[in-house]
Amino acid sequence: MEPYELTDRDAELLSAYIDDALDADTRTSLEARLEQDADLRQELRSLQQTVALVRSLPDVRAPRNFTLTPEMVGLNDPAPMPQEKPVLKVVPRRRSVWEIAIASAAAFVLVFAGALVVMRVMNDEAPPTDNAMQVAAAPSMTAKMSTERAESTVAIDSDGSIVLAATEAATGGIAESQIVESTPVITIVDGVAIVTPRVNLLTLPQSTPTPAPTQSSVPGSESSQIGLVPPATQEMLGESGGAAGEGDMNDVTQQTFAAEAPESAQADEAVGADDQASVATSTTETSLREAGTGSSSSEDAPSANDADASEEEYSAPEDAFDTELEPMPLENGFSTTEASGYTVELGSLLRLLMVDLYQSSAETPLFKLPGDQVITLRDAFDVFLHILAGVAGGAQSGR
Amino acid sequence: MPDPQAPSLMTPADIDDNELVEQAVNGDVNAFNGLVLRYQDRIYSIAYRIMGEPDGAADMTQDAFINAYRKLDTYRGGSFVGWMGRIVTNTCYDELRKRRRRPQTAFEDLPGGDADDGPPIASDSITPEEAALQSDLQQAIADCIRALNDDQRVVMVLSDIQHQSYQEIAETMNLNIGTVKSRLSRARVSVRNCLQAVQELLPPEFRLGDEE
Repeated sequence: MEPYELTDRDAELLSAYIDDALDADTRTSLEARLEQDADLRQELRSLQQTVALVRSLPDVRAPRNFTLTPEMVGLNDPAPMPQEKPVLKVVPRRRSVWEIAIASAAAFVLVFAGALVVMRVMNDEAPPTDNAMQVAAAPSMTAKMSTERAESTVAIDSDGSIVLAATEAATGGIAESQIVESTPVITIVDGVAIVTPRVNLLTLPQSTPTPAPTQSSVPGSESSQIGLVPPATQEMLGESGGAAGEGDMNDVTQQTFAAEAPESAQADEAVGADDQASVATSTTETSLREAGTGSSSSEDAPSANDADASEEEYSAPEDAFDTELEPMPLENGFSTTEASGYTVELGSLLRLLMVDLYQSSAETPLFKLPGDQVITLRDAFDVFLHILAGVAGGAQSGR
Repeated sequence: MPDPQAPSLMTPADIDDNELVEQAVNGDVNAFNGLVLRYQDRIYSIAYRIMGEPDGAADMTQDAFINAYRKLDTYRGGSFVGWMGRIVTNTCYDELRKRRRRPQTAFEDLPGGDADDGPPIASDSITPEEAALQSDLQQAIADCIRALNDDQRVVMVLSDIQHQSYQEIAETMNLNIGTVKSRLSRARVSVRNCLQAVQELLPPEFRLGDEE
């Protein structure tokens, strides 16, 4: 066959001519060309033959019967459930990898927090941690985790509800760092002493070498508030968080998660069962990037007599958002840098929650191996972070 | 209660398609199964031409019949098999797009991945039994169709296997007619070029390009 170059235009004309789909004028002019042009005629012939060959293909016999059962179409089923691809039916809409990652991370954090609470409650013979050291140790971590010009407030009320409000600092000029003592809170409710142990997840494990808390007088900063408030204060806190913000504060999201906590009937310590952790976040449009946050969890009560709300305010450097956690050598040899590296992408809410939990997880043994190896929650967390990093990597490469 | 596994007993061949549809709309799965048995070869063939391999074609065929049953109330008369053919085509096309978003195997890596590469290599996804049933020529044609890209292949199957008009194809695929025309002509030229590489398989009257 000659190297005749059939143009796309001519190919379309010939194809439509084969299907008798040309209007009269086009058809006439094409036929006139075909009269003159042997090459074009040959193209037409080969295409006609091609179409004839394709149309000559016989049907393939079905490999099996495709008859439907009543179950397939949801009949004879008291609670009709789709038989085909139930996963697709359950998920109402497509979710991005990020949504899934963040949701699973949030779920993990909640479970993780619950596990921490359980372990601490069960481990109440553990010696109370040194207040001074905790307070001293915490700020340096908080400072590193805080974000630009944002103020976070985390509160746990006596029935275990967690209020988390992220507020943009009105001026962004809080230069002063404060350390307010953190004390456990014991509330008497219905004659039962409820100890909300130190609401300070920013506490380093006692065994951890204390990093130098040199965050004092860092200029241009933000603060993280962690405190206990009675239930009535929660809403106010959330509202004030929203009101105090500058700029667009138009989007207030509230999410409620339910977390299970075991009942504890210890004489000097009781934690409300079926804790509801409600997290109320006030966000700006850039909340994930800017809003600071905090987290809280329970620890052992060093004393059963104090009834006092604790509040801690820390200040952080302006560029804290970009500052990764410095490696803090811990007993088990894990460093904390990985945590911020992974969690920083997930928004500061999760980031802070997870870093806080991560920090306090190293001393929580899950089980012991022969020898002196102890598998801690930190180890479990590390595994999770690696998985998360894989998801995040997949999400980025998928874009 | 009739046994749903033996619906062929329930649907004598002389019952009209539309009558079976009417019964099916009223909840009679077996009436619908009469239509399934009547047209499953046709529908499976369409799926097979589009998907290019038997397992996916079977899945799509089953899905298409389930989908059709669920939206039977949108059937507006006319040719049931034509309506069904459009459903299976869309089911297949959706699946292909899904696979394209998360490709399991790079298509370029497969043998015969490009129609212009020369004679396609027979896909190993066809069982020897199936291959034996097909003549070499049919195999070659099928392979050339399989080598088309998804968009062109679907349009060609709609046009030259389902015999739909440009207008019907445009509606089925939600395309404008110009796109249908151009995809179809490209598909035909590709298949033509592909078949020219296996001239010796073609019967004399089909020797592509032979003037005399």
